[in-house]
Amino acid sequence: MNRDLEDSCDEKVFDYLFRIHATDLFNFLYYKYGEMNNPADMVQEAFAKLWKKCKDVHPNKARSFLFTVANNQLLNEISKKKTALKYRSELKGKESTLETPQYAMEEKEYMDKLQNAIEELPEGQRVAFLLNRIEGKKHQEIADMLNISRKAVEKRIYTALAKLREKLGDI
Amino acid sequence: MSEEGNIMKWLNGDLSPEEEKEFLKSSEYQSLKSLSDRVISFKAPKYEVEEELNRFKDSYSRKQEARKINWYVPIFRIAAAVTLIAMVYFTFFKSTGVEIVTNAGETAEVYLPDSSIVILNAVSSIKYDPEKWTKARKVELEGEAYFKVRSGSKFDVLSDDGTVNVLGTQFNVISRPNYFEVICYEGKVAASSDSDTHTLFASDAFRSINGEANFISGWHNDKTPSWLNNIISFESVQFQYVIDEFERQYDIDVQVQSVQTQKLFTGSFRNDNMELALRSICIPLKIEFEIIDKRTVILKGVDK
Repeated sequence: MNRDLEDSCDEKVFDYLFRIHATDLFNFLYYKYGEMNNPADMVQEAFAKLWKKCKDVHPNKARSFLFTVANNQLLNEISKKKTALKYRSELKGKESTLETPQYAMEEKEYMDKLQNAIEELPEGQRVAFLLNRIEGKKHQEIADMLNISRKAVEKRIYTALAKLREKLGDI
Repeated sequence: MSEEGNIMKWLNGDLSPEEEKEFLKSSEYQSLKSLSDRVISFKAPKYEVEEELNRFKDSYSRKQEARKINWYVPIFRIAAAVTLIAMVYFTFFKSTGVEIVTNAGETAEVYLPDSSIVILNAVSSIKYDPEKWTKARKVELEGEAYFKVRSGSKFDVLSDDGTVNVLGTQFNVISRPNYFEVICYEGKVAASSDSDTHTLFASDAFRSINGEANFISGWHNDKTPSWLNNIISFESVQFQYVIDEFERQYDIDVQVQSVQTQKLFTGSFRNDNMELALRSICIPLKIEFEIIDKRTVILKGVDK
C-alpha cells in the first residue's frame, strides 16, 4: 500500500494533496492578488496543472510545484484587476469597547487608510507580511512558499511594517 | 538586542517568555500593537476545502486508472450493463419532461416554469423539464413558436438547426426542414446555427434557409408576428415553403401540377378562411386552384 503514496495520480493521494495545500495556496493568492482576481479559481487552475503533470511530480514535491506555478504567474486567471483587500471589522483584535461616534469615525478613517496602504505595498512585501501577521506563518514557511531565502522574507516583512507605520503616522 | 531584532523575533514568535514580557512593555510595541491588531481584520475569507475539492472534481475529468485484469471483472461488467439498462428504462418511462404538441390547424399557449409564455403555431412542439429547470433551462423546439420571456429570465431554445439564448425578451423562432429563422421583437436575443452566431435586437432577423445564413437588421416594424393575428406572412421564401405552411394551417393535402415551387414568394394568407387564403397565395403567381374535397386541394400552374 505504501507504493500508492508515491503516486500523485492516485485519486486518494491527489485528494489528500488538495486538502493539505489548497487553503494555504488560496490565502497566498488572496493576499497577493486580492479578492477581485478570483483566487479560488486560481487555486483550481494550479491543481489542474498539477493533475496534468501528476506523473512527473512526486507528492512530496507537490507543494513546491503548486507555489511555483502560483508565483511565476503561470495562471491564466490573472485578469489584472485591481488588488482589493477588504477588511471585516468584526475580526479586529480586542480593542476598546467604548465607541463614541467620534471614535467610530476615526476608526473607519484609520481602517480605510490602512486598507489603502496594504493594497499599495509591493506584492512581495504584502504577501510576506500578511502571511506572517494574519496567518501566523513562520519566516521559514513563508520562504518556502515564496521560493526565497529566510533573510529575504524578514527583510520584506520589516520593510512592509515600516511603510505601513509611516503611512499611518504611528497612531 | 536592537529594536529591529526584537521586532523581527516577535514577528516570528521567537521571543522567550521573559523577552516577550519585556518587549510588550516597551512603547515600541504599543504603537505596533494597534497596527498589528487591525491588520488581522484583513484576513482572507474562509476557504471551503471540501466544496472546492468537489468543484475541482466536477470540472476536471478524472481518468480511470487501468486495472489489473481480474476474472471478477467480466461478471461486474455484466451486472453493470444490466443496471444501466434498468436505469435507462426507468428514466425513459419515468421521465419528468413535458411535451406539448400542436396538430395541423392548431395553436397552443404554454407557460414555462419561470412564467414565460410560449405560443406554438401549427404542427409544432416544445419539450422542457420543469424539475430540472433550476439547473438546466432548456426548451426544445420543433416547428414555430413565439416566445414572450419574463423580464430578466434566461434560458436556451434548442432546435435542429440552431440555438437561441434568451434573456427577458420577445422573439419568434421557426425551425422547419432547411429553414431556421429567429426574429426579435423586443429585447435582445442571441441566435446561432452551425455556421454563425448573431445578437439580435428588436426588429432584427436571423435566417438560415437551405444552409445559407443571413442576418438582417431592421427586418420588420411589427410589434408581434402576424400569425398571432391569424395572418401568416412570408418574405422571400420558396413557394414550396408557403405550401407546406398552408398544409399545416388547414390540415389539408396540397397537390401541385406544373407549379414552380422554387419561386420566391412574398405575401400572406389568412388561416381562418381557406378560399380567401388560396386566392392570396395563388393569384400573385398566376396559379389556379381546385378544391377536390375537404382534405385535398390542387394547384395548377398556368402554362404560358
